[in-house]
Amino acid sequence: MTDRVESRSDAELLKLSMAGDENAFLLLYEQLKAPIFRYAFYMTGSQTGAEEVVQEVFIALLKSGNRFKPTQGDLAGFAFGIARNLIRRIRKRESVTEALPGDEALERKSRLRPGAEDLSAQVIRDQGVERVRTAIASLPDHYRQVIVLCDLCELTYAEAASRLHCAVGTIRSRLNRAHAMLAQKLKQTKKPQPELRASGTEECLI
Amino acid sequence: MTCKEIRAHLQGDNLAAVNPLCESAALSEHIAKCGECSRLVEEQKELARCLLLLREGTPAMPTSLDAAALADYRTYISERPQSTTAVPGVGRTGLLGVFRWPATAAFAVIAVGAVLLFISGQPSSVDRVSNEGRSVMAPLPATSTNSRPAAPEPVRIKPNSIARSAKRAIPAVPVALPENWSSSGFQGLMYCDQLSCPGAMDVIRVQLPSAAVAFGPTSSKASDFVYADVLVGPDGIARGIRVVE
Repeated sequence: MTDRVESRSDAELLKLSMAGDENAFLLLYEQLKAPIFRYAFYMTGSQTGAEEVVQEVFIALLKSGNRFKPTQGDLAGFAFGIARNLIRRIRKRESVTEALPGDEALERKSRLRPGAEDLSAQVIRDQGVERVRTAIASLPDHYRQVIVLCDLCELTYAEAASRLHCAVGTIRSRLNRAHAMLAQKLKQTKKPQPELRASGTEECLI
Repeated sequence: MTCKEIRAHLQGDNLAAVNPLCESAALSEHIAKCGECSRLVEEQKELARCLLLLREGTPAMPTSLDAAALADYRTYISERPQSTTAVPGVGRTGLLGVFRWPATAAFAVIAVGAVLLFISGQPSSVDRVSNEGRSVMAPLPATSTNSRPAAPEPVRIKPNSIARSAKRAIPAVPVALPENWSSSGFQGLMYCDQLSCPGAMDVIRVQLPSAAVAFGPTSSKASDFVYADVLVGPDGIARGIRVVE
């Protein structure tokens, strides 16, 4: 049964899933979960938000799978469209109710693994990541989409174009512009590194 | 390598192409001399490095998410409406589809029949009147219109359905009656008075058995017929009667 399911297309897997075939659903889930999770994570900037999006996307696929037409694109594009709408909704909702600032900081702290590598290097790296993430989040939506899809989710231009329903040339030009804007923002936010004393004790100020 | 070539390569290309470019000897040679290109390449390398950092910082998907998604799927499948699981054409929607066309056809036949009956309602009304009243409709004599006083076009009150059916049943000529219409030979019917009939009325000539007309001229034979004009109001109720001959 599973072998027969594996040979089917995404559209057929979706139909089978809607009819109650759990194997088909699991196959479909395995194919789509990672790209959707990464996309949602970079777009929302939150793991919890990304998890919520992944769950909602699959439920929405089951509910509105009848609207999917293979002639208008692949199923991944359809799922990305659902994810994009959900993310937009989440962003709108979160603009009303901001999350507590301590949550993300605590999460980052929990990811630190002292001993595995130099702690200060990890902190500096996390700060760098946060700086880039903030810079990407401040970009206009259509530039952010191409950065996330092409540079972070590592889709080809053609795949990104099919996800965003636009031409490959549009993706190229947007990406070029987005890179320029991002480089500019990173330059602006880059703070001069504090000069650390190589050795010795703190001077007494008295 | 020229500045233009370097910019063309960097612009609109994926950042993955930056590193191989940076390693080329031609580029190294150029950026050693050109400060602008050196700055541009450094900027791109920094951007590529930052994005790589961000990619590497992507958290792994928790395994609990898979379990949650599967649980969501099972819940959805168990709670979804039955109509979506039914074989198409057999479910509630399917049955509606099956009976839609016969029902539409039957309705169309009934509607057409009703319209035809409405249009050709005259014979059936005549039959009903003749059976119930045991009267025979007589065609109006050709002189009957001349015998009536020339009257202006009456102001007609919106007739109701009864009046319409009465007019269809027998040829009726609307007349405007004088204020005191009882003086024109009509005898008011006991359940009707002048006040109850404010608008124009129709005069219908009917042929009745002489025995049925108690107040008319007595006939020698009970089987004789008399002509009478009946005044019918806009509401279809007879107001007066006048025996003509």
